[in-house]
Amino acid sequence: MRRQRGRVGLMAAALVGFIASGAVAEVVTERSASILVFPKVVADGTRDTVIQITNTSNSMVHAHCFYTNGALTFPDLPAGPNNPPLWTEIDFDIWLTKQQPTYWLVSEGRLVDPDDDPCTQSDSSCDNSGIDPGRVPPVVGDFTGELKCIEVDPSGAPLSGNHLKGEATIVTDGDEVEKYNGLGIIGNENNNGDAVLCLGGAASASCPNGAEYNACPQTWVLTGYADGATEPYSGATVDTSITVVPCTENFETQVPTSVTIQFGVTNEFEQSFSASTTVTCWAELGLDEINPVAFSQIGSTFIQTRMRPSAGTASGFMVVGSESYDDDDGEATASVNLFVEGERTGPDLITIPAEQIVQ
Amino acid sequence: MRQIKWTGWVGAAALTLVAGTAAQAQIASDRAAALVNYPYIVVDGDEGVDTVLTLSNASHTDPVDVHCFYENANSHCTNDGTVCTDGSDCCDGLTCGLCVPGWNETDFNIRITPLQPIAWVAGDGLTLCTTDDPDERCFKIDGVDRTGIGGSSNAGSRIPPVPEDPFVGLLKCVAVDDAGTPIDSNVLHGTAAIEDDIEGLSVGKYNAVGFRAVDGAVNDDNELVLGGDNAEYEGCPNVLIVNHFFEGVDDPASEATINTRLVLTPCSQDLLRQAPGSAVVQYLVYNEFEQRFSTSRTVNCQQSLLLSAIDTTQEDRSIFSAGVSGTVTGQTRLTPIGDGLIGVAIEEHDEEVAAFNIHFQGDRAESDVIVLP
Repeated sequence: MRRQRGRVGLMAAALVGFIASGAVAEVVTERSASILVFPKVVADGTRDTVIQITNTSNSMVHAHCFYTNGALTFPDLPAGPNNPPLWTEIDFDIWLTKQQPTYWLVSEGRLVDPDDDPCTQSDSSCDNSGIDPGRVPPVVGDFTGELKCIEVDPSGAPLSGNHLKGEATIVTDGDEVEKYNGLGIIGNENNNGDAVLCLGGAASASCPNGAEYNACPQTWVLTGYADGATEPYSGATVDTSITVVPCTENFETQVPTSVTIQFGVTNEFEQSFSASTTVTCWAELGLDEINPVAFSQIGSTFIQTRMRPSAGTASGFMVVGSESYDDDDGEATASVNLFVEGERTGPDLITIPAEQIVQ
Repeated sequence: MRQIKWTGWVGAAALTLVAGTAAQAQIASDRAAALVNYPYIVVDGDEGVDTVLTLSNASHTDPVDVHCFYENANSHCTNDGTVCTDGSDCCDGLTCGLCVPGWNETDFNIRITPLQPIAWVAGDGLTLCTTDDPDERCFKIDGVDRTGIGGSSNAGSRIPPVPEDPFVGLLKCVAVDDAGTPIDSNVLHGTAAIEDDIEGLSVGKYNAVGFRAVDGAVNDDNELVLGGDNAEYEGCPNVLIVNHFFEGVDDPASEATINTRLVLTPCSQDLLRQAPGSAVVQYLVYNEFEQRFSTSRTVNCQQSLLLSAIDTTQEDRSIFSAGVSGTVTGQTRLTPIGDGLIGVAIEEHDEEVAAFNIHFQGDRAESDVIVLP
């Protein structure tokens, strides 16, 4: 009886400790994590993307990565029920030695080539020099989509190591540059290493251990320009877009997830407007495409936009923002990582084909 | 038997305490906070550079009073007091003065209504509206012609322009009550867009770094304790991590030459006695061959340097140079000794810029303290 009470006491204390330590259950943009999400990855002839990923630990780290192509079935036609996103995925593995950084250009990928010449003081052109992380395939032409990398153990089983950080640099027309931090989802000790990754939520048939990773945020906040606003320093016209991917993704069934997003917009006069839109698989949306009244004719230069998944919608979402500046002297772009609030009760599920785990 | 049981309970309780307190000490640039820092503000009218700042109230119901501090990190010549970056700027052909680092603060107060975003150009400042022109940059809710939720307004708000042009420094804003006492109201978030319009427009944007207040821990004195024992706010990180391109390398997407400016500022600052913080920073630099280099440098008040200028005056010989490190990208881990640090990075691709927030790891055991005047 005394031993049993002692064990119960330990378990209760550990549970309290777990609850206390799980106080911050949102995605992160400046801490290492077990899942890295790059919602906006483009290589469409006009734009290209450089992906940087680093292992922040003193041990080797493995990651299983997915490119998801969100381009429309018929790229020249508007999106609709008869023109859905392709939602085709390519997966590959990378390995990073201790503290190793790596990079690749999305349109070209990265081959395993030990003969890549290192940079020298007389030659700073040394593409792909270093320990190659693995064979990274190039994306297909006109790729607009997402990259997701999941930390795994050597057998391919998902692992809550929290050792990955990354950035994406998007170059437009070989000139304009924008950069954002990859969105990190922190894993916890409940990870059972199966093919279903549970982001938040309680124990269930799909998630017998409950949440294995932090939940997706309940609310995303973007403070920036109303669409078509005049930037106060240079006088440039600013257009803002957001790139959205659902948190729930099923790579086993290849069925894309739809999420309905509610927008609450507040201008500098504290006047509020609302809008909504539905995103399936992936979308890059100008604010004026979502609702021209709410975002363009809103009556002030700056707005605070709060976005949340609609009640009853099946998934949370992740998002990055981008501002395009256009004045008489030229154009510029800047990416922004949004602010987050709260956590979805979830869970959101990322399902990996089972054969990709056992290696 | 009884002794073993007590040991189990005590050990579990200790574990709980450690787990509970460790969870609070994580600053972030993606969550609303009670104290927000903009580590890099730059204005230079001759060079066509300015910074557009935003600060928003995330509360749906309550206005928030904010006390802000511009911290001027300009150096000045001892002979004529002009702004300088190095000693050569202080020579007038006959004599030379010294270029001496400086640090002083200018503070101001504002009130932001519920969910309201405000924005201003650092070189211009912001006042209440004087006309009905909707394009006028001003505080829109004056409390006379316009009021917000519950009668709130921006009345009494005024933001001065930065005290010098050119200006390099930082901005710090803390949520306070109507008496000016810091409060644990985690509702502030902000952004800074660095704009260069001299040869075509270029914009780099970063999020302000937020220090969330610990519920119920903020007292009414003028010392803000960041992390450590008796923390009132989250603490500064133990290690900062920067993913970067090595200096002088060609952009894989465009062939532009890439350089990165790293801006660091100490977490501890005494604004009352005008004493900036200081830290010796240990840099560990890893290339893609897993090879490691290291260097160190002291940061006082603010450090804004290209990576290749951190360890040497000859950039081709820097460990941050692609020619020395041998690969395109690197990971640099920064460990401060002394005060904690926060920072941002600005990546320059020829004439184009992109800014990004740098990563954090771990929590400092020691507290950092900001003393308000």
